[in-house]
Amino acid sequence: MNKHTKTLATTLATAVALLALLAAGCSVETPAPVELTYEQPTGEAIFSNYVAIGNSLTAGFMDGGLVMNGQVNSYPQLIASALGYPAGSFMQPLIAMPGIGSSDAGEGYAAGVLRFDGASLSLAGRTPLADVQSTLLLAARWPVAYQNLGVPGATLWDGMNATSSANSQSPGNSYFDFILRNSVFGGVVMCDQAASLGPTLVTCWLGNNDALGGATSGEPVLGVNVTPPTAFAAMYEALLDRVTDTVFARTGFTPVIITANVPDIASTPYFMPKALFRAMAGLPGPETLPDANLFTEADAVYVRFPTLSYLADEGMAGLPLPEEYTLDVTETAVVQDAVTGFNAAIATAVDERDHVYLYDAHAALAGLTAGQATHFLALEAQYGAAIAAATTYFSLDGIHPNNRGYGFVANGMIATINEALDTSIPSVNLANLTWDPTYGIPIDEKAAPGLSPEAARAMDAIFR
Amino acid sequence: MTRTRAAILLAGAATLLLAGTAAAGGFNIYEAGARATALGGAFTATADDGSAIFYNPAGLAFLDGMAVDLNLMPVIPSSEFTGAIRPDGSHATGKTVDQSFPIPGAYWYRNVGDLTYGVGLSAPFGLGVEWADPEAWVGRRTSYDVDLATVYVTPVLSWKVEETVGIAFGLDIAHTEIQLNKRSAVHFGTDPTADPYVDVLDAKIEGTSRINVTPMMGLMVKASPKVTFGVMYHHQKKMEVRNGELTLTNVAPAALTATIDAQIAALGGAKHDGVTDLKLPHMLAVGVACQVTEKARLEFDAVHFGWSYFDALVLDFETNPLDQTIREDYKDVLQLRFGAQYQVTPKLLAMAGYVRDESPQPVGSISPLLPDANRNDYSAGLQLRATERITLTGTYMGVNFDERSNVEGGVQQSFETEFNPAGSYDSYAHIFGVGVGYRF
Repeated sequence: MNKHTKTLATTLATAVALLALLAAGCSVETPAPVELTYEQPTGEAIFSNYVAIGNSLTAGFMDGGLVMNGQVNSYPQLIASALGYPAGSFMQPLIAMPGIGSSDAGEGYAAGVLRFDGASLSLAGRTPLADVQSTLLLAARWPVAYQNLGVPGATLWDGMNATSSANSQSPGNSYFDFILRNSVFGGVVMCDQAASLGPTLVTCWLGNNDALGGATSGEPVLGVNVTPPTAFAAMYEALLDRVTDTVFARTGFTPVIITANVPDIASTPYFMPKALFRAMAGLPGPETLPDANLFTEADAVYVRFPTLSYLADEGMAGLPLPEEYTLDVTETAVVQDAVTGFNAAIATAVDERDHVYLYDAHAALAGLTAGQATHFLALEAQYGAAIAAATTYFSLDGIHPNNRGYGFVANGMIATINEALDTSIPSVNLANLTWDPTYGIPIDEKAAPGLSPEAARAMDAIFR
Repeated sequence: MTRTRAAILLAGAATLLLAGTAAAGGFNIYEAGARATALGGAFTATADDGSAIFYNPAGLAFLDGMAVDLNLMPVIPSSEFTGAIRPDGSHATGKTVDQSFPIPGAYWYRNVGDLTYGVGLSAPFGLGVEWADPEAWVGRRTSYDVDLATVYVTPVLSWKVEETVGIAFGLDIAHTEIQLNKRSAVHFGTDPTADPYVDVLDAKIEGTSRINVTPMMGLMVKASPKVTFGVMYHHQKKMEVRNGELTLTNVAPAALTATIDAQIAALGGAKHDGVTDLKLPHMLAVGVACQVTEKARLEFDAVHFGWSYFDALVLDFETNPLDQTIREDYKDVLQLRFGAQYQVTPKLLAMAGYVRDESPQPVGSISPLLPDANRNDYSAGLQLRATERITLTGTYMGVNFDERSNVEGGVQQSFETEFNPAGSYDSYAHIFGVGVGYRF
């Protein structure tokens, strides 16, 4: 080996070794994950993404059903508009006329909403079940969760557990299917659908059906059709935390939640004090017709509104009124004690959470004037349809507000937000919310006065 | 070998050019020859083989006879991505697939008296970033596979003005192929634990540019027996892609298939013609070389890239709703290149180099399309004079990217944040070069 060759070999070997070191020592390294700062929205940004969960009251249920005419004045829509959302940008499960009510419209048909036909309440129309999907559900193809996720009939339990009518607490209630649409999306419950939108502001008005379900059946029983308050309290806290935690896990911020508590059944025209019932039904006073002869439940406190139809059908032969038409002292106490328990639980849950605020719907509705809290038909008999429609805050079903009533609720929620966040969202001008209980359909002069049996059945079913 | 055979060789090298990858700042590839690469690309004031046609054609003025230099430099890049920590504590990850891009450098020149003429083929701009598992890759809605290849064919004429001064002029005749693959998504679904978007379209954009011709030039001054200065300039280019085509494929889940089909139909079908301009920066290199001893030579180059010319990629389709502007906002950068060589034996030359390469990419445009970063390159190589006529060169360069994040101060700084994932990238590229020179 000569000197050149040796040097060459040494150099080559050194070079190869160096290159191997270079190549082996240097390679791509997996970076460590960096931290992102997730900013809590403040000021106007809190209103940038508003989502509503709840039941029929949130859905904009009016006149015994869900239809665009009412939905466009749902309190969530009114709040969204007040927050500056452009028309049509707050997504609701809009339903075309005649809407979807829950009354019996004959086999193979879906009932529409109730309307005032000049003398009585009747259905605004009906739709073959086969056509419901294609003709009524206007927003069924919206690719994400609705911003208004109110499902008529939903209980507090349903808000966290129901994915369809089949597994809800009101089996057969297809509003769950229309609004949660889990045939497309899989099994996602209401509160998680809300969280999926990453809301900055949530309104939550659940719990009403936990008492109303029993109350409107006429036979409320704690633990059967009325939720026990202790169970309610645990579920309510779980719901608030689940919404909060799920939104946080998705977005890194905590949403502001506005809750509302449960109004007294006595605040609605549906539950008529027995004296009012006698007057509306044209019955004599207790000195002529003693309570014991009028009611099976002799200590009846409230009479349900559909009783008027029953009485019109059956006449005096229908007396005494079967027990499901009335709430007696005990039954009234069951419902009112439950509502008191719910509202105490809601107040506690709100107090324990810095980002949750309460709209006291119980106090607000109890503060309505007599006229505002009186049923349209009662006012109509006395003052005529125009004044009646301009006076009452309740829709034809007697338990859900009309659009002016929803405006009243929206303003209560807006006031709660403004006080909580020191903002100045404008109120809804109630004078602009006119309610047409005829739905623009020409009045049928031949219709029989009163509450039709069909409409009464609708009113029996609407809360479930 | 005749000139015809040389031309065939050049053409053969061109077919090897599948795609490039960024081996210098942005998507520049400064590796045009195995010997120059071994010297860290500090070659402007040395430029003593065929690759001078790229690095400084004035160097050809000082070469004799006729030669062919063929180089092939496989670039093996890899990148990893780690997503920023999500509110739930999780983070995404991703890595590129193993790929190798053979970068060509093929040159022929002939000296006649004081003139030397030649032609070269190089690929100074290219990019190839393909992310593994494209269906799940978190950045797929920006890009899951991009290929960009630019070929320069450069005829030059070099004139030895006097014994110590050479100047050269040439033309960069360039052609670009570009392909981008990405997914498009819509907000769909109601599950708060799932990705709020689902992929509905696969979009492939491909096109080739018109031939673009711009001037280039070189100057070499042997200021003293030991010190040489060199200057090289390649003009910026606007590569006009006029035959671009976008192909949309419906990849939506069953619940959306009909909707997306309808949307594709509403756009007028699955294929759409489009145009774009790819703006390539100028390169201006100034180098000084010093023959320190009889056997040792050092060079230092500064290379200025006019990357600020690359401000945006504007995709203009005949179907206007598909138009897209990808904001880039690159800035001009100066690369520093150091090279050293040592004549170990009369037949064996050892070389090494170092490059400090500042990224022209602002934090806002870091994306799966091109996750650039500052780099340190280390190179070494050997050249063996095998026979009187034949030289063989072997080179390795390691391109070590700094880790870089598009998150600063806890906030994602990207120009587009909806589909460009927040997180950090690290990259590395191996470059292996082989060169064969033949002196006629």
